[in-house]
Amino acid sequence: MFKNLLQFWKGKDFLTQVLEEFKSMLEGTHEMFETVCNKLIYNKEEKDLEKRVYDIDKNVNQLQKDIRKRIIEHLSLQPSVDVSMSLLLMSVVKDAERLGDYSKNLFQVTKFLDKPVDMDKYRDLFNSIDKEISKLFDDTKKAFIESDEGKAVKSWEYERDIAKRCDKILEKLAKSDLSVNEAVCFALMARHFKRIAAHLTNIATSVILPLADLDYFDEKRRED
Amino acid sequence: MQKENFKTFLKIILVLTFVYLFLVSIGLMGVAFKGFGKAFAENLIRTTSNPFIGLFIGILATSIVQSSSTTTSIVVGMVGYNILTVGNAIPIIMGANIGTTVTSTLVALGHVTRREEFRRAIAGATLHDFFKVMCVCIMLPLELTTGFLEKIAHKMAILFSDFGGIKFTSPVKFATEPVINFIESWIVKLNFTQSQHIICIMLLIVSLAILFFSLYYIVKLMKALVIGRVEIVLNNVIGKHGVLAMAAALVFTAIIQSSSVTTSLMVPLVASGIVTVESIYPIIMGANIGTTVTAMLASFATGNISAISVAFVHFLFNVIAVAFIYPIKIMREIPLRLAKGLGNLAYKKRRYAMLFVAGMFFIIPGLMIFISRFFK
Repeated sequence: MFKNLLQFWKGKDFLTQVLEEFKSMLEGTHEMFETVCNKLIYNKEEKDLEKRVYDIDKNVNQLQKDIRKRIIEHLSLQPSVDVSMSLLLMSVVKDAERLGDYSKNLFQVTKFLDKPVDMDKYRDLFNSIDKEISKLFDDTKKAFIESDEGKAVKSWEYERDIAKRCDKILEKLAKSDLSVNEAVCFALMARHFKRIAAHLTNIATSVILPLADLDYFDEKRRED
Repeated sequence: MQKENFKTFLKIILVLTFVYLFLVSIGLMGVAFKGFGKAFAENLIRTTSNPFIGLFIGILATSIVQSSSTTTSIVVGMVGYNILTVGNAIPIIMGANIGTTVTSTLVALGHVTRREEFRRAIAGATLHDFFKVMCVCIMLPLELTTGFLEKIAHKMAILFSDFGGIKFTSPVKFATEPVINFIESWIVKLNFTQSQHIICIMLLIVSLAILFFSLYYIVKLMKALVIGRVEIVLNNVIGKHGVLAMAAALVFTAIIQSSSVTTSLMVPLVASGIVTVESIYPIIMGANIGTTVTAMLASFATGNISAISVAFVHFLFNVIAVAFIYPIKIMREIPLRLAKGLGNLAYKKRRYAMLFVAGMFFIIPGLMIFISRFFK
């Protein structure tokens, strides 16, 4: 009984709890992305893949709701403490949730494909973009959780490169003589990769951007 | 870290200082009341001899100062220095219990711009109002016919005294006396007219000023000291463990000495839909009991059995409400339905919420007190 009471007394403070939950969101979406890429690009079979992907997505959505609830609770009880961090988290959890949605969309591409991805064509178009995005996941997590400004700036530059390459892929696809199925699937992949990189960068750059400029890192880049 | 520890230490010292000042204010009030003489006491007792007027005085006074701790402490002080009888004080204490709910209801009005949020906020805030009104509707007639609260409270006060409680309170009197004497002599020196009546009025004004000031800062400082931990505990218990939520609210309110703070903190949570009206019910119950600590503290400053009885009446009123009304489902649901009904009404026409606040806490009590003057 006393032990139970002590558990209620102990608990974690607001920032520790929400940051841990946010980290879990990033880890979950990273796992989703890698699992889906393994199937989509490298055709690695996994048992109950669909269930696993949808379960992780459900968990990520729940974490988003939990974090939002916790933020409102915190601001109701202590309106003047951690206001900026609360508003920032309210914004970046949306980005993390979108990462889950785009990974799920990538999984849906596996269902559209008539046959497994041709690795030569993939490499020719995408090179190792999936590995680079996977690294971007790690860098973003590090940048945000540890407030690592160096990593944040690096992801900013990384995203620019990925976005340019994804746009180029679409240009190439428009002029290619690939089958409709292959072209549509590659186009969707390019689109989703670009969005995932953009949302990751939204999270990473939140470390260095003023609160009002969140999500507009590309505008800030042009200004600089 | 060291700087933080020093800040915490400083806050604790300040809280202790304000608690001391609070006790001084009660003692000072006693000096003022004694000076007003027998006629003043008789007049006040006559005015409050109608229990309904006493009830409305309690509602109106507490609604104006927005703190039942202040009203109940003053009433305890008055009883302690024989200005009021225990019987006359009981309806005022009940009124104070209703009046204190105004703060959270006023907080709910702040959500007026978002209809759905407003519906939930009004339901969450007025749950406390309706619960207290129901308790008074049941307990006031019972008290008037049987005097059960007064009898039990008196027995408890005697028991408290037998166990050495009064001995425990005498150091409080001993510790506050030098400051009370100093303020008294200072006011006597300041008063050029040398009129005893003016001296008493000045003493009363100073004591009330110290009382408001000390209670305000006790609440503010204690809230700053414990809110971080409270947030963690509430996060762990709200909507999950009713009894623990009640216990947490009781302890938190007893520490910060303000049920208004606890209940008002719940309103934005209900408004935003994070917690349900039902899940804050135990928190309101816990806060109601926790807030009785201040009157107890005030009664210690008087060291008077009657004052301690009144403090126990305040405590018993809330404990009985939690023990005998809350556990009965049909009874528990009455305030819940009324609160939700008012929330729905306010959703359709927001002016109903404003009318409720103005009518229940200010217009009706004010009118009743005014009308009573013509029926002496």
